Amino acid sequence: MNEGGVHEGLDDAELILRSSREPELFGLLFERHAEAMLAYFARRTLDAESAAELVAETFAEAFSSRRRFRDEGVDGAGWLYGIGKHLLSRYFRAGAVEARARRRLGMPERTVSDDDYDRIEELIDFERFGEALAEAMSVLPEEQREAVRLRVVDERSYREVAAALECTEPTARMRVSRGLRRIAGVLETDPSEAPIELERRRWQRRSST
Amino acid sequence: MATTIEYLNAVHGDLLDAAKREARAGRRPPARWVPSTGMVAAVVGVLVLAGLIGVIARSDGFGSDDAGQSAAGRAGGTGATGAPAGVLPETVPGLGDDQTIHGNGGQGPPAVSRVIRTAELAIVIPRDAFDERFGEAVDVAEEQGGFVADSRSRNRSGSLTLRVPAANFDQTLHALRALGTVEVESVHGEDVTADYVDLHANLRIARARREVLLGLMADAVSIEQTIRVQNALDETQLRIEQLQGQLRLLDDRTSLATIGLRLREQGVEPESEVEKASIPNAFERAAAGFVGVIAAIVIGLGYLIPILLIGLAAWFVVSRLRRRRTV
Repeated sequence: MNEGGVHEGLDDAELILRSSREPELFGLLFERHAEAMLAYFARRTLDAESAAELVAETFAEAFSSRRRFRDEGVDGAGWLYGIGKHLLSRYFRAGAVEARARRRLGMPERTVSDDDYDRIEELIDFERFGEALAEAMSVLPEEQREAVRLRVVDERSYREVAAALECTEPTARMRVSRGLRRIAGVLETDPSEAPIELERRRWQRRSST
Repeated sequence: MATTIEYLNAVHGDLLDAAKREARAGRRPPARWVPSTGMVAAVVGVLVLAGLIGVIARSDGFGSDDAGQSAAGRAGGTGATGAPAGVLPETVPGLGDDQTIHGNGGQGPPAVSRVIRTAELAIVIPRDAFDERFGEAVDVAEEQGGFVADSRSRNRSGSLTLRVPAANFDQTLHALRALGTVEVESVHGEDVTADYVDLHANLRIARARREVLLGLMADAVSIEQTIRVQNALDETQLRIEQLQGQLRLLDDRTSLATIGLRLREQGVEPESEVEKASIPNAFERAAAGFVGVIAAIVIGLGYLIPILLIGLAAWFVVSRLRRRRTV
């Protein structure tokens, strides 16, 4: 990038401070942190699309409020992830990523391409979750559990998943996405408060009566 | 941007575009808090609501004010017309020695309270009845032993200043009300008993001083003494005349009530308002209106803030509970 050369030596905090006069320096911050942040969100949301949107929204929000940044104790990345964490918890509460900051800046809402889906899911590194994931999967409804297993455990493509489940590819993607989101809820929060847990109890109650 | 993820590349571009837009606009970056349309609408809504509440609250206040005034006027009226017991004890014995100061038939010392009574009446009369009703208003004043002090009429609307004996004040108002539909009525009573008593006391002192000086005059042996006493005597005489004049004025104003009467035919603009539509007046009214609106909003906020606080607390509790239930 063109800003790179001169400003490469600046640390994150200096970059944020200087970006208040030279807004384009913020692009450098994005280059440094976007991908790592995408992985961070992907591992927590287990949903490629939400993770990507969270990155965009976090940077939009950070850009809007960069003048508030004070170089006191928290380094630039810490500040950035603080904003990200806040948006993540809002995402878990509302079930959707906000677009307020992006709208304010006039940034369009982008969609995640099929290739991106695969690349982002690679960032998740499902193996790391191991047992927790297996346990969480047991609480999913049948069709979602099957979709998640095929996609995540067996590492099949969406086309194969769709064929195995006898549904269209978008449906397969939706089932995987919903299943993973629920699992993310279980993994992220206190199990007793996770929506999945409440859902499960409700489901058990319904099936027992 | 060294990543294979297209989405990130696109967002990187979007972010740089936003940065360029900001740099191009040469403005400061958006403030950390940009009020949304909804927020602005909410604030405006609250202020308008506050204004309305304030207006209602204030108009209630004015209503009771008016009632208070006319009640005071009426209470004062009985004081001046009759001889209510104990309104003012006879604390000034001997003040009535000099009957000449009571220009209006020697009403005696101010053993009773003295009230200046005034009223403003605006009456709307039927079409084509202006001349007739205007004449009737004059008749009313004369029947009640009063007179017309001033009158003006133009374009089938006009105003009259009537002076009637204080004793007939209420009857006069009653008769005037019958001329048409009362649009505005305000009755005012100003108790000037204390002024009256003061004037009488000062007058008595001045008279006593004059007596003393007259005695000294008789005893004066030198020209110098005579001149000095004469000067003091002149001053005292002047003072006495001033006091008598003030008493006469007070007598006049308390014994004769003043009624301002405005008459206009239905559909005719009130005369006074046509006259008032001048530029300085417009500014004055605009300024008064502005202050009025702000005052109304402040009053309204006083009513609203506790409600808003309770609402906010309730919203907080409910959202907390809901979150705990759904998450």
